[in-house]
This record gives sequence, C-alpha cells and structure tokens, in this order.
Amino acid sequence: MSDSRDILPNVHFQAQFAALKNQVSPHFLFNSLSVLSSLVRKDPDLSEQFIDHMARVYRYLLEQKDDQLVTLGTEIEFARSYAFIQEVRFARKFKVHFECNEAAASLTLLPFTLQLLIENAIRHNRMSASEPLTVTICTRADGQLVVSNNLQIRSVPDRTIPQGLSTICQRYEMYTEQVVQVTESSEQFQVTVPLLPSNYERAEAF
Amino acid sequence: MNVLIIEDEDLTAERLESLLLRYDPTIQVLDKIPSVREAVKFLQGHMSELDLVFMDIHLEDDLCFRIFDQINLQVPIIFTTAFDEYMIRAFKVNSIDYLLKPVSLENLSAAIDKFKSMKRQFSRTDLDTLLQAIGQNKPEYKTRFMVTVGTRIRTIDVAEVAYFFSEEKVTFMVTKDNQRLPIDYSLDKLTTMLNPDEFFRANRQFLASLSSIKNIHTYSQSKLKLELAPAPKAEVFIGKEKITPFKDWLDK
Repeated sequence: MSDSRDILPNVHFQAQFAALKNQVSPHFLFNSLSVLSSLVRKDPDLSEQFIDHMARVYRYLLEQKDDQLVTLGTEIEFARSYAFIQEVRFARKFKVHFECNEAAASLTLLPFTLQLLIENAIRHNRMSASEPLTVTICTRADGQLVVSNNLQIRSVPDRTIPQGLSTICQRYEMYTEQVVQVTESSEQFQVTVPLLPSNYERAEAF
Repeated sequence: MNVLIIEDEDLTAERLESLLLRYDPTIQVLDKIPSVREAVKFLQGHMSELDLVFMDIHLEDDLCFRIFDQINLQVPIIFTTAFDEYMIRAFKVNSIDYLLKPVSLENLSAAIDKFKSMKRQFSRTDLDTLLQAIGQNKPEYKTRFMVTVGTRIRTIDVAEVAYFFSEEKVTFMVTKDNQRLPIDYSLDKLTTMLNPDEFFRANRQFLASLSSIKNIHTYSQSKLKLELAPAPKAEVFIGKEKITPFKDWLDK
C-alpha cells in the first residue's frame, strides 16, 4: 500500500475535484430533465419546486471551486435539494432523512461529501416501491457525521454512476488525520465522516 | 402495435407512454416495468404479443442487460439512456437503436418510423457485440479492499491477497506478506465478489487465491490437502464433492 499523502500534491487534489464535478453534472442533468419533461404537464407546482432545486444544485456545483471546507449547514442545504430531485425521480422508492443537530451546523466538511454518499447508496443498492432505499444523515454528539442506508445490494454496481466512496476517503486522507470509517452489517451500510471545526487548518505535512 | 416499456423512473415511463399515444393513438402499451426481475417474468408469458420494447439501461435491481442472461428476447428493442458516452458510442458503432432522454416526440417518431421500415430484429450477435463494447459481458469483480487498522484506513489490492479464512464467525484476509486483517465480509459474500478464475472456495473456512497454492497433496481417496503460502494455522482440505470442481478450476 502506498502512502498517498506523500505522493499526491495539491495539484492532483484540484484535478480530482474538477473531475468529480464534471462527472456529476451531465448524467444528473439529463436524468433530471427527463423527469421534468414528464412532470411539467402532470404537476406544475411540483415542477416549479423541482426547477428551483435543480438551480440550487447547479449553483452549488459552480460555487464550490476549491478544496475549501464548507459548513455542514451549507452542505445540508445542497444535499436537501439533491435529495429532493432524486426522491421525485424515484418516487416511493427512495427517501433521504435528515436528522442533524442544529449545534453541528457550523462545523465543516469537504464539499459534496453528502451528495456523493447519497449517490453511492443509489449506485450499490436495489430499490422498489415494496423495498424502498432509505438514507439517513445524522450528527453524533462526538462531532461525527453518520450517513447510513439499508442494504439491498445490487449484484453489480451501477457503473453509470461514478464511484464516490473511495473518492471521499482519499480526499479526507489528504486533508486530515481523522479517518472516514465504513462499516457494513447484513442490514446496514454506514459511513462516519469527521466534522472539522470551522477554523480547521489543513495539517502542515500536506 | 403492442409495446412494452422497461424503465425504472415512473415519470419517464409515463412520459414515454403519452408520447407513444400522441404518435399513434392505436399503440397499446401492455405494461410499464421497473426491474429486471419483473421484466423477465412478464416476457416469459407475453413475448409473442410484443412488437417493440423500449428499454432503459439502469433498472431498479440491475442493468437491463441481465434480462438477456435469463431470456432469449426475440423482440426488437429501442434502448433509452440519459447520458453515457460509452454506451452511446457502443450503440452508434453497432447501429443499435437508442433514444436519448429526455425523449422528444420528434426523436421518438423518427425511431419508430425507422423501426417500421426496417423491422430489424436485435439479434444475439448484436447483443454480444454491444456487451463486449461496453464491457458488460463480464461482471465487475472487486479489485481492492478497504481495511481499518487502528485509526488508519488502508487499501489492499486483491492481487496482494493470499487467501481469506473464517474463524469463530470473523473473516480474515491474509496477505502475501503474511498480514492478518479482519474484514467485514463473510466468506460467502467474498466468493461472489471476487473473480472466480482467481479465487477458489476450498471449504467452509477457506477461500484461496490461485497464487497462494504452493502444493496439492492427495491425502486420501476423498480428500486433497492444500499447502498454502503463507502457511495458515489450520490444515486446509478439499472435500470429496469439491475435488472435481477444484481440478476443473486448476485446469481453466
């Protein structure tokens, strides 16, 4: 195993970040438009909300230009919009619950962490009206963010969705000594992400 | 004309149905189906009634290509996809009909007109070429494992793994340089996740990689004994019922 911290300079980090943003956009955009083209006749009010959330998602994608930490509050707002779109797209089959403590809202994390974890759950799991996929996002008293979902693993991951979990682990490994923990039981998949103080300085070694 | 829509987004399926009816109100949409499992079930009973199938790539439980593993589909297909460069290139190169989402009435009309004039059947050869082109003919096997040692996360390449074994319900990975690391997957799960050309389930406790097998001894008429490197604490035997599959595997 190589120690990626030593060999990956900042430049690589930036490039990876740019690639990440490009991956998310086109696929998500066309799927969303496809849903919207149906929704627009069927439910104009919901369509209006849908467009509003799409705008928020894309604004966030454009705003987060660097590897700057964002507050959990900001990331959650974005994740809510992203989740809204996926929930409309997979109505009755997919749900995201937000159970975050207000007090944690000013702590920080790397941008897109929540969105990538939601997407990761969709990538790896089956969902149907009778067996919905549910993602729960909550904060713990010890300042950790926990994203979990019920496990209904697909026999083959959906490769039309980019691989997100390893990206998150690598980004955190480059950013902090604190680790992203992944645990899996027969029923549940859980990722624990460290929340950093708002004045967190990237460790000097990096 | 009888049509089947295989699509996991209800709204997109509804939209496609309404566009089909706008194109030709006599079209019958026999069903709208969101998963591979249900599609196979429907097709087993109704294939002969169908003239055309619209098929999304991503379905609730798997990619649509798994339908072809289970059924010899003798109906023309028009694939639908939102955005996937590789897929689109594969479709173009193999002149397979596809529609891009969001589907417009104009594109849909053109696709059906083309279908009517050609009545082209999507053959097994087309399918194999397509699967080849998009790398879907072989399942995706695990290439590395993330393990947590103390507070540190590491990744271990599958090529570094000698074997897996279970002991008192805990699964361990043993690397070629003899590190023992507990991992969260059961041996049963690992057996399905790893390339079966590389790994063999010797018995209930051991899943060994080809390169870890140093010697094979005939222990008795009904048993083989494996010598693995690095040497495990327990002896590893292959029971009678597994000897033939094991020999086939060695001879692949």
